[in-house]
Amino acid sequence: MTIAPPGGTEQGLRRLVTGARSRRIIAVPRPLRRLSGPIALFVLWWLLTSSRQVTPSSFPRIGEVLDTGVSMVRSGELQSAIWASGRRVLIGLSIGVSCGLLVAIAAGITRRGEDLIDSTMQVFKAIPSFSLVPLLIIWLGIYEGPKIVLIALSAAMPIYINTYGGIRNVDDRLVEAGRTLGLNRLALIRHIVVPGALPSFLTGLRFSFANVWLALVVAEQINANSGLGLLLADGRSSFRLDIIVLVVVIYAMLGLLSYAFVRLLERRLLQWRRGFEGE
Amino acid sequence: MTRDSDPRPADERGPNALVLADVRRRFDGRAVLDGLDLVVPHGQLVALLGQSGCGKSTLLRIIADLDREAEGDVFVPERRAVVFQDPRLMPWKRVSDNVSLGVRGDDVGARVREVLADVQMTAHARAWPATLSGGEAQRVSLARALIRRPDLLLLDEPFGALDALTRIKMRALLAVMCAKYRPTVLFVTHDVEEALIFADRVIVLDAGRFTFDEPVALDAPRRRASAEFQTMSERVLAALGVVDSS
Ligand SMILES: Nc1ncnc2c1ncn2[C@@H]1O[C@H](COP(=O)(O)OP(=O)(O)O)[C@@H](O)[C@H]1O
Ligand SMILES: [Mg+2]
Repeated sequence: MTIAPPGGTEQGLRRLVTGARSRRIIAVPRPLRRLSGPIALFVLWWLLTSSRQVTPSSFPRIGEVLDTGVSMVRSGELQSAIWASGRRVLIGLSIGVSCGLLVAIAAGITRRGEDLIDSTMQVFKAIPSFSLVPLLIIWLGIYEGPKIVLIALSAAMPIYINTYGGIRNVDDRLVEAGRTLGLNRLALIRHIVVPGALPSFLTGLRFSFANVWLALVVAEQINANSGLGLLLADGRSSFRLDIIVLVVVIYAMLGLLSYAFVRLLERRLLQWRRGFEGE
Repeated sequence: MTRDSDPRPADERGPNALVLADVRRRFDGRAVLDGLDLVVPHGQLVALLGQSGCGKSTLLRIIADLDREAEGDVFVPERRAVVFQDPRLMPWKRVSDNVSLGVRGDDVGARVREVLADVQMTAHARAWPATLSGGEAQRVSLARALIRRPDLLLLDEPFGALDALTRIKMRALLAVMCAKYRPTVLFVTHDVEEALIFADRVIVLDAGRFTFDEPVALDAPRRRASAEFQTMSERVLAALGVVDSS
């Protein structure tokens, strides 16, 4: 820090901080910095349960949960539960995203499609999808059918809403420019409408991922015959708090994993945005 | 409105690159273009002047086939290109992909390189449009128009959003490009001097009609300071309804 001499050239002026980046003593990589919050949470858990502030009957120790997890991995129980649930989510998500996308494109690119589809979708949007559970059970039984449809429905809505909005917000001036370049309808959609709506689609995908894990929990309560929902039900009926907490932690990790996936997609597909994070 | 494109090869083409006959356009019952007739021979550089809001862009959009609600007859060549005031590059395509968009043929890569070299943007071929300055983006927009080798090049105040220094450079670049690619040009501008330096012919649009249409009979190199330039400039300004007493 230099002090300006009285009456010097800098008198009366404020010195701005410069070179801040290089002055940082230890540069912690961003992913590590982002991990510090969750790690603190685990430390808090460990501290609270080991200091007997919280009795094991109301919340299990971290070690107990880990032990349970390890033994369930050994027996193969945990993997098969994750796979059974993951499969439902993957199938439901694929169906939901494809349908949402197709309907959004149909509604977005033609005037007639808009009149016909969008008003209909506004009605569907108003229906809470979980209220359809009894109907789905009557129509599709109690096995995979209603579970996958429920997950697909909850994935499709955000995709439709965001993609449709994205298509409608594509800059008209770019479409005009495309026309003067001699692009036909299909080429306009491919080179201008689809890439223009992509950021909104990815936002929709984020919401879809949030929805599908929620829908999974509800869907697996229909008839818990396999999957994480079965573990949860077993844990509840046998008062195994360690199992319940283990499943909750796994839900959290699957959720985080899916966010990481969307972030990766965004980073890959939206590099053209100036100042996009990571660039 | 009828519209004829010219599918014949260049040596069989007629004498003109643009013909308008009694073109009219109304918005909500208000006539913005009120019966325009115009014949532009091949290779002519025409500057179109007019006060803001007089319908210049409206006319250009009609000629670019972006507005089919106009009335009257419009005849244009098959190969046309437009440069707008804003560059209108696709933000998700790199510079070279923006230039080649809609271009067919097997030597597209070489043509892109050539035209980018022409506008001095070779170094930015792989750049995203969002990283370009206004002048650079407009040069790419010009390259995207020229790669099509247009018979008719439509420019709608292409330098209007640029700073004064960049505008001077872009005018020079445009002149060089027109000498090389030899399109017929319809150049909308609000700058009388720009029009008189660049164009073979100056047209003024006022209250829906062409009120001034004269060749620019000035010797090259055209100098703003010359007496002929000043006289012509004052006459165009008078047609625009502006009295410059300085
Ligand atoms: N789509 C439109 N709907 C209604 N009025 C329009 C439309 N486009 C242009 N106009 C009107 O037509 C007139 C000419 O506009 P424009 O051609 O953009 O003028 P300029 O000569 O400045 O390019 C303006 O009064 C404008 O408000
Ligand atoms: Mg205009």
